[in-house]
Amino acid sequence: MNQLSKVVCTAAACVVAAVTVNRAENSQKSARDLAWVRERVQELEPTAKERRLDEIGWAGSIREAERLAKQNNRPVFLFTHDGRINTGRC
Amino acid sequence: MRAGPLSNSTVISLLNRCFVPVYAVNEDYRDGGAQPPEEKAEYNRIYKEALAAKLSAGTVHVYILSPDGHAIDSLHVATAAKTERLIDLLERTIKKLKVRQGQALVAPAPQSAPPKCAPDSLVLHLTSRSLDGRGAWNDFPVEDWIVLSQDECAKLLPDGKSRAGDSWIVDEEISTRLLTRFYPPTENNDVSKNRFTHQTLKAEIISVLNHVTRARIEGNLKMQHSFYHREDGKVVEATVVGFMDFELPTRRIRSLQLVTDEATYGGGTFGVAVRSLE
Repeated sequence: MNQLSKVVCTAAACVVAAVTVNRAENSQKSARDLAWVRERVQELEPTAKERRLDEIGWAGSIREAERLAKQNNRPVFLFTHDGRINTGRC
Repeated sequence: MRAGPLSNSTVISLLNRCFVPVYAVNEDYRDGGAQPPEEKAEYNRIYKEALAAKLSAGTVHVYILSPDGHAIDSLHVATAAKTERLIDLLERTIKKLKVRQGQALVAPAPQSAPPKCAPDSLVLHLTSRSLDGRGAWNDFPVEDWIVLSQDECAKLLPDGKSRAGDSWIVDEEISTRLLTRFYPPTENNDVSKNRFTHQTLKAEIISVLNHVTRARIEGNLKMQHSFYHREDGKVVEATVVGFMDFELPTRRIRSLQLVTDEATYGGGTFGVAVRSLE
């Protein structure tokens, strides 16, 4: 095989590879159907383990906590913080 | 705190059986915050009382109040976030006050709940999480609630297009409302600081069946979003795919689901999912 043939063959191989990769990518994109989207939504949503905060019986306000504490002779646990601990945006 | 002691079974049990737990979002207790004046006054009273009692005091803190409402103990969050230290605080309080154990005084309930809104609104729940632990917080996913009014929902829908293959670009105001929250868990959550380089959502009708039209949505965005509140040049880049079912005659959206296909930020990857409530 002379030099020119080698260059032509290499170029042809590159074109075939590029087309194959492109087809594979297009095929992957078109596979993003409704079932895939629904599955991905479920995968990304918080799990019960990540929502253990919800297992605590939080009072709705400091004054409500103080009222319940007084009525039931219990101490208040008050956590003050920046951001939204309930959504995690903090 | 949330990923550490507040997810620990012993802490959860002690709080429910022996305490009245409550959390206070500082932003709501500052001037202009959502809490009423009486609630803000109580927050300030506790803070000042802790200071006067020479307890550790600050804005991000755990305070223990006696049953009659006086600050009797406290921990800085850096200490309270160590589970064993928080358990120690709870147990010594129980011992000191001879607390009688019982049931939780408030029934546990989801803390991230849909906001109150008009019945014809579209309520969307968004989840965002780091996928590889790089470039973002990755202790747990974060959530947002987005409410679109009936008028805003109408802007998601096509004008005069009703056949399979018809396509349209979603109104920019609405795509901005949705896509501005497409960032991973970060310290900065002020979406007014986000800056789009570009963003688009394109919808195409793929079927019409029994008056229900289904559209496939594809889009992408590039948006500046700083990790902390100081500008850091970090950028979100994402591609988005989703589906929307709607009734054209009534212009009612039955369901909407959007997810990131590929999303990067700060050298890491993340995923966002948006779904409408049934």
